[in-house]
Amino acid sequence: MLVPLDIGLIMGLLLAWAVMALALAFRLLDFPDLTVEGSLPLGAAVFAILHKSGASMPVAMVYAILSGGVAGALTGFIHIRFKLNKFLAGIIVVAITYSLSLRIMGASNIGLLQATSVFDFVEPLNTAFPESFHFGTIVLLVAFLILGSFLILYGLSTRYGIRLRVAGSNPDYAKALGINVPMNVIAGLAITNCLAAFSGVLLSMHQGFADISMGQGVLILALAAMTIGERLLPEKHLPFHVFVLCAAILGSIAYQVLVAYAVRAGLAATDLKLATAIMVLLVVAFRVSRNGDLLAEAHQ
Amino acid sequence: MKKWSVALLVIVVIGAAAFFALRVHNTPEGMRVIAIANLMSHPILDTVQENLLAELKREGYEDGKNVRIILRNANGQMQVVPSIANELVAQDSDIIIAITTPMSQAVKKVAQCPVVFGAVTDPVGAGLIASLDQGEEMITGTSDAVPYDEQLRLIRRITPNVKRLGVLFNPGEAASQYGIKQLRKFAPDFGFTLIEGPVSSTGDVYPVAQNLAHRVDAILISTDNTVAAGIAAAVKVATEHKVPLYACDSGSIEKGALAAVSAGYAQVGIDTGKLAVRVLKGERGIPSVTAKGSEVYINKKAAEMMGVSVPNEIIQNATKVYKEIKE
Repeated sequence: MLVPLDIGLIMGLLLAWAVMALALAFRLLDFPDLTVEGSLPLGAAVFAILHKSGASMPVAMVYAILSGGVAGALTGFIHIRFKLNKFLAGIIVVAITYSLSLRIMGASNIGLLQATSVFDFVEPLNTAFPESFHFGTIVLLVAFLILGSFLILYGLSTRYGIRLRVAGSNPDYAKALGINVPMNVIAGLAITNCLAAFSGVLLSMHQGFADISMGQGVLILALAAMTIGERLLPEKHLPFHVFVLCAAILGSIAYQVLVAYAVRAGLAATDLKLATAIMVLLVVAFRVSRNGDLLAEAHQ
Repeated sequence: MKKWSVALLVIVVIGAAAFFALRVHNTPEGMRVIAIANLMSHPILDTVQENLLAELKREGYEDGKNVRIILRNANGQMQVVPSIANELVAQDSDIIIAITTPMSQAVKKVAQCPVVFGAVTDPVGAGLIASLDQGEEMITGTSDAVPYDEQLRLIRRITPNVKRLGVLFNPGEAASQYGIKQLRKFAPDFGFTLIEGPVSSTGDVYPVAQNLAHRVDAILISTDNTVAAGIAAAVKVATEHKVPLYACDSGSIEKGALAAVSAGYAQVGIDTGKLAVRVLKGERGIPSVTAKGSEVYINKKAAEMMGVSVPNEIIQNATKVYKEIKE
């Protein structure tokens, strides 16, 4: 019964970056950023084509991550420069990245089965353990996440990071303090979409291919994971930005473990989505009932 | 009142979870495990899976009797694909049969047992195998690549005067990417000038077909799920402008396209099943199989409406001739 835990843990750790991207933009910048759905496959596409055509893995990864950043910055720019609704700006950029990813890849699917990946380095650790438990992969992904979270949290606690948070939480106040709000929004979205692109890179390495439709459904998945995480994690003892980050990671893992158990149960194609939806609802319902404010709101 | 509704919700959810949990059953001792992974539920892929299962049954592999067959479907969710691949490997499968390109890639990445892929258009391009002719130890399968040269030959035979051939396709699909490359390669041999009409969604089919109809002598739909879903719009345009509309699968012919040489997805499923049986019997290093495409489909009613007379000889040799257009 531990196999789904292993699978879910790995998928959760892989997708945690995309969930973090959505959560940080949503909670800290107050920007419901749809771009995630486009920057994830864009990252995978750029990585796949560069790596396949001979670039070394680290170089391909860096360019892939930056490509996500460009997509995010574009969303911010369109929103601010053309005063376009946040959702519409995201939708436009998702459309652009779709065509762009197709162009870059030159095909809708690129196989990376023979290509090197970061997971090759930890393969000895995987084989050292019983075959159903990928210890090495998990350790590596956790290490990535710890490093990434540390960098993000450190960045958010510097002067620039605090400016960014103020610009996101209270733009008027930020303006009064002389903070360049538009620049901060653009920079913030660029950073969060770098995270989403990194998620795409890791995914394509882990599953052995990049596909144009990789991004479809990521948004819903990330929203569900974020919701679960925020319900599971006690809010009171953590600073808000730490809470958002930890909740995203925890939620992503919890959601993917739930999905893995649903897959293990052998649900028919038609039931899988319903089952995951019910499980999300279950987590949310438990937490709300604990707080006792479920119907307080409804009765108003 | 509040507590009741919450309690009720929790009970329903736990009940549902218990129901699903009970469906998990372990493999009885000594039974071999055949795992089948499919990307989504969809007429073509369902045909492949059904015929695959039927072929296994014909060869005496029946679920619950002498083997355990595990079916998994990602329901079109790309993020579930690696989960399913890992899950099937963890079930100690004796063979994994993966349908569609992404599913096969994900399975090959993690599999420790023999893999048979099905309905992959371009297995070499997808990185599954090194070459079509040589067998490999742990992987084999079927390709549903449409014989585009045969398709163009059929167009030439039915409508000899066509010069400019419009192609409706979605560049976002792997099969169409492969198709358009093949068409570009073969079109000059048959004296066609290709005019490409890319669509990105089913809603694009009507306007793009309209646009093409003014500029071409005939329209061809490659094996494309997006266009196949919007076939009615293309048929409407074709009959309005009296432009012959060709396709590459039997389903589109039934729905009003004129003629097709098809890979025959039922056959793809059967071939995949045959390969799986050979692998289960211990054979290794089997070269992959490409769909023959000997099946010709004609729609007489559509021909009439598009002002085309199909030579008798072709009608007599057709696999199936439709007399009505299915709405």
